Amino acid sequence: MAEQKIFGYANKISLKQGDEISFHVNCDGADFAEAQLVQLIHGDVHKDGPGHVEREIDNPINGAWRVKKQFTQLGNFLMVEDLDGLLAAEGAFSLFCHIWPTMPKRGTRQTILGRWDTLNNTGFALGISPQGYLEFWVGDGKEVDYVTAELPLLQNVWYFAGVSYDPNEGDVTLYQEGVLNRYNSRVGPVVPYDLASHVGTKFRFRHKNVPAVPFLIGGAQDCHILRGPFVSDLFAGKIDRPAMACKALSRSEMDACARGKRPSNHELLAYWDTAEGLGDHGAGQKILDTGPNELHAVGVNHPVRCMTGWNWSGKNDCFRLAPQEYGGVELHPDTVTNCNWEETNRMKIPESLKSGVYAIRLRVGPGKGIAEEYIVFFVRPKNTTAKLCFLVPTASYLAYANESLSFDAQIIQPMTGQPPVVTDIDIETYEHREFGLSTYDSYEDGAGVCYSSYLRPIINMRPKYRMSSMNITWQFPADLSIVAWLDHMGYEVDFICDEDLDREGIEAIKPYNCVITGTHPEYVSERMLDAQEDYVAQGGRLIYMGGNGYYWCVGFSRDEPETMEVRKLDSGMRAWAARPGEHYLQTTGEKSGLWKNRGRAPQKLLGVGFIAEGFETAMPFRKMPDAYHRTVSWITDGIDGEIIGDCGLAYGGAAGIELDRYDLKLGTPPHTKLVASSGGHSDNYVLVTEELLYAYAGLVGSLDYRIRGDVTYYTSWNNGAVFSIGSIAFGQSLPANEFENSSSKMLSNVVDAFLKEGELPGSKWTLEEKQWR
Amino acid sequence: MSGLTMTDSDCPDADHHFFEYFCRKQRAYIKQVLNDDVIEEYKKSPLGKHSEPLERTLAYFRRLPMQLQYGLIRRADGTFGMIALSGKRGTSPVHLSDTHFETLEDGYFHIFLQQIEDLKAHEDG
Repeated sequence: MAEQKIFGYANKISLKQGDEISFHVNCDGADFAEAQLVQLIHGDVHKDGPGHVEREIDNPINGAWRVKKQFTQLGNFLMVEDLDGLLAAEGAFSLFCHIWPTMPKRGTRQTILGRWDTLNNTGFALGISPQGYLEFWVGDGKEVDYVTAELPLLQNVWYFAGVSYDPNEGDVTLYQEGVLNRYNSRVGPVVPYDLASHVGTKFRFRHKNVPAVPFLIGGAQDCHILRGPFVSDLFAGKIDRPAMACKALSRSEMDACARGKRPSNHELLAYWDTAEGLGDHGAGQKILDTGPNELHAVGVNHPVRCMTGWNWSGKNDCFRLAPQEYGGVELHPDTVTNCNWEETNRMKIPESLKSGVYAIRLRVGPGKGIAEEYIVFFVRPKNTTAKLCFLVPTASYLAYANESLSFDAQIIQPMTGQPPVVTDIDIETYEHREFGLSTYDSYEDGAGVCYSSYLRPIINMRPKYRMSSMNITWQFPADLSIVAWLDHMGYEVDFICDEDLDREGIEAIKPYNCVITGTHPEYVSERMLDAQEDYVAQGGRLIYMGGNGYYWCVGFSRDEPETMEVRKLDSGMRAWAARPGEHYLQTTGEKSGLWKNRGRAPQKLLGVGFIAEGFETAMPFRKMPDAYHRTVSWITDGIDGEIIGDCGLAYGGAAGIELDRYDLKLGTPPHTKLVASSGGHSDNYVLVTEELLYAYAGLVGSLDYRIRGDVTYYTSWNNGAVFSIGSIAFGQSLPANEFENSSSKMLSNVVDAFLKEGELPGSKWTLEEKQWR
Repeated sequence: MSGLTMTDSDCPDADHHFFEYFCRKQRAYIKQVLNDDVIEEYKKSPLGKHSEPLERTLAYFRRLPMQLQYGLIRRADGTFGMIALSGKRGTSPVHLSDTHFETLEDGYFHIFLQQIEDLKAHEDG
């Protein structure tokens, strides 16, 4: 019997009562799965906590679901809308574009552009041979004729690639010319590379055009008996302004195209101007054909646009300044942002289902490990009644979705200070790679992953999951420790997701007296940040429950809002670095990277910001002198002694993993009280790189006083306030000792106070110097 | 173009010449300081602060190429087994099937012992 596996995703993760949600499931080794709607309460099986806690909910959707094997289209490419077959040329034509191949010697055929059917060998295409040579080929359904360049293409070097073909005479000329300049390629002009190749030959037969074969840029049509049509022979690298001419261009005409000249419209069938439409607010996934037929191309799986093109001069660092130098569209054969699986089932969110964290639990066979799936979604209220809002950091869940650092990242064991602890789910996902990568991974060609979506199974956005490199819960399953605490304490709470905040702004959180965050809300868009800043200034109370929060600037895709984009650059603790000139978001036009580098350090809103990370131990907090100040002493009421948070599910303490610090220079509001701080961390805790000017020995936990987590509090206009923890591990400390601990006590003091209308405790004390005990 | 004209980018990466030299020096140091006390120290406390000899030994182990790294697999019954990472993208780790540990700490310790064995297996080790 085949191994039984089940994976799935939903079309939405944030819904209101009455909304419809569809589920998309892939199953191996079974025809039916047992489905159960559950409310998720806690997701860590750690011995010191309540374990995995879920509540089964009656719903007509429960029961046996018919499931089947589903297939995923890996790789991104451009699909041309050519319904009338205008590109199925029968007479002479030419294909040309600029390319920057990233894996010319990948060992598989790569199609740059054409109408090619790999199964039946019909049509024509310009591409790269498995050995790494530029090639043009035609097929008549029986045979294939090729013309191949004499010199191999070099990795990460810009070329002009073209072919002129007259099928009536059989004449074909391949054109390859290097366009490397001082900035645009991996190496400079000093390297004595021979880049040019011009080869002419005569084909034995003409190509056969089959109407059903699409014109593709970056791939070719294929077909499998079970799967049906799909795209293979995917190209890895950048393509800039691909085009098709309705004549066999001469050598001199190709020379002009190589220098950037666009042929006149009467010579063209199509000219996909990849630099067209790059505006102040970024660019979408549609690439305009500015030729006579307007055969526009649409990106599948988010080709990365706004990338430097063949003619990038190095002077301008943003596509908004010189769009004509940013025609690069980057393609990766191993990416996926939408699995596009057939719908398996759908459900209307019952009116009676209160706001919370839910999942469809699916089980086949043994119902454990890869035979069990949780498709998670969040229900927000149609009508708000609660005064407390949990802001679910779904943007950060996307950033880490399916990360595989334990298997691929050389730096991970030095970082975490321990060997990884993996499960069969990690191995299954790693082997098949059909669920896509996280923004912590790199593609096979070495480029960092900048897009992530939830239209695919996300194995680490489920209960019971532990991040293998650290052997603790992380993001969603870690945030369930906060959810469990809220449930245990009996608070009425609504759940709002990052994507809701991004789309609706402050209106999404305005009804609430208090907003509480997740453990690691690291990725935020400008709209999300603006909404929270305005919320606090207008009298809202924010509890920042995490470490390394509000760090990266992200954007959401205009074409598929389920997809988030980030570019990692310049400084910060980062898994990859965007290349020069590619630091701005396609989705919004904004500069990505750290919010700190855009003048909005997290300290300005939260009072604290990222200072250090370490992954093998945690420490408690200790009260600082401000804790006894009468304006804030209520925060630690009921906590005897100086220590706060000396237990927890993440390395046994409330201060750990990633830590944030109070820093007036970075915008901590000057009247902020430093309630408590950790310290004494191990030397696995290292200072974050964005704090470094000169590196020197000793920027580690036991030698640098800055390496600590800070608990802070400040008040704002209209009785607004912000209470910040400055540690990821704090959330996981809440369930320890059956929720009876000093972390829990401190947080409940703050939540209780923040939920009350009117003045905050301690706000009547205004004469600073007289308030000390 | 006259003289040397390159047509291929497949030039060897000379960086690993120094990396190998560096690793030889590291192994020589570890060989001097590694003793039963250091091994016992790791066994008692695999995570957190360590003595300088142990910290440097662990730093060497953790920075080895991925294909020389180990990990643990958590089995469905809560026990652990040892795996050897492939270091090759998309290739799963190899299960070392004769390994079975009741506790995480046991697993960590056996990885440590295996890494010491690997170090000793070097000709210069």
